[in-house]
Amino acid sequence: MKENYYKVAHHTYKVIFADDINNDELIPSSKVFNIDEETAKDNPLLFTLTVDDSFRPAKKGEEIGQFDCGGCNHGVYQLEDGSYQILVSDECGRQACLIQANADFSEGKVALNGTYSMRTFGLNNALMMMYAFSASDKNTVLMHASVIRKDGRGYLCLGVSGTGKSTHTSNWLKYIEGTDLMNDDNPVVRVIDGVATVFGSPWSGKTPCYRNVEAPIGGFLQLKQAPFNKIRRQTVIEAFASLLPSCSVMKWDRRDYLGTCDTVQALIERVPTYFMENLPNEEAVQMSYATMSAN
Amino acid sequence: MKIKKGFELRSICGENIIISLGKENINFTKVITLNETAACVWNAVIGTDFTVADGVKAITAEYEIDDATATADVEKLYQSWVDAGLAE
Repeated sequence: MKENYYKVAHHTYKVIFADDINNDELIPSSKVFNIDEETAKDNPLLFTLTVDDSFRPAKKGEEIGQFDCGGCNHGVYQLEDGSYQILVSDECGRQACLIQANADFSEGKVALNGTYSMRTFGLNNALMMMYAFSASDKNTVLMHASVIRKDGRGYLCLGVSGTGKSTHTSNWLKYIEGTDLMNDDNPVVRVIDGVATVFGSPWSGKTPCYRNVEAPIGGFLQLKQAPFNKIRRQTVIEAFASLLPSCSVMKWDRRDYLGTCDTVQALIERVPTYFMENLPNEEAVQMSYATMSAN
Repeated sequence: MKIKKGFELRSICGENIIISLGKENINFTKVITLNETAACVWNAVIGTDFTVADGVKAITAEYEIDDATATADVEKLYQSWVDAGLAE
C-alpha cells in the first residue's frame, strides 16, 4: 500500500494505492503536484481516493443519467444515503473505471480496468470528478477552458469542444510575445481572498500541459467561429450562460450545483467576460489581446 | 398554480436570474431573467399554491398600479412562466 499526496490550486488530496497492481506511474501528469506527507500534514484534505481493483460494485441505486463527456460515457447512480456510484467508459465503450464516492465526494474508492492507457484514463477521470465535486462548495470550480497567460494575468477561452479554444490560445503563443499556456482543457478556477485566480492542473485534455502555475484572471473569452473577427463585452446574463456550462458540475446535486453557482457569481462580479466571433488568424488574437488587456 | 420544483431566483450583479437544478431539470438549459416586478411576484408566491389574486396583491403592495392593469399583467406573467416551463 502506498499513499501519495497532491496539492492542486492550494487544495490537498490523498491517493491511496491499496493493491499491488496500480501505482502513481498511472498518473504522470500529477507528478509536479506531488507533495510529501510532512507538507501535506499542515493542510486539510479535500478528499481521499483509494485505488483498489478488488472492490466491487455496490447495489446500483437510482440511475441519474448517462452523460457523454467528449466521447467517453459516465453512468451515474445515486444510492439512498446520497452516495454515488459512477461507471466510466472510454471512447471505445470499454469500461475503464468504477467509482464510489460519498455524498460530498470527500471519500472515494476506484477500481480500474484494462490496459495501462485505460487505467490512466480511468484514474484521471476519477480524480477530476473527486476534485471538482468535493471542491465545488469551497469557492472552486474545474472549468472546460484553454488558458493563456500574459503579463501575469490569465485569460480563459471558453466554448464547447471544436469551437477553436486551443487554436485561439496557440495563436496567442505564436503572435503575442511573452505569452505562455497555463492549461489547455481543465484549469481550476478559485476566488481566493476576493481575487479570481486560475491554476494549472494535472488535467489538460489532449495537450500535455500539466503545470503548477497560477495567475489572477484578466478575462474570460467565449469563442464562436465566424467568417470575421468581432469582440464585445458580455452582459451579466450572457456571462452567466457562458461560465456556468463551462464548469464541471452535477446539476441534480444541490450542494454541488449551488456551490458552483456561488463561484460563478463571484467570478462575474470580479472579471470581465467577452464574446468573440473569430477566424483562426493573427488579427483575431491581436483583437482579443488588445481588448482584454486594456481592461 | 405552482412554481415547479428546482427553480430558484438569484440576484447577480443586479440581474434577477432563475437557476434550475435537480434531477427534474437536467435537460433544462435555458437561462431566464425576471424584471423587478416579476421578481417581486416570484418572491411572493414561490413555495405556495397561488392564484392571480396573490400576484396582484404582491405588486399592488409594492407599486402604484390599479387592480385591473395589475390583473392583466399578472395573467400575462403567469402565462409566460407556464410557456417557459417554470410553472404549472
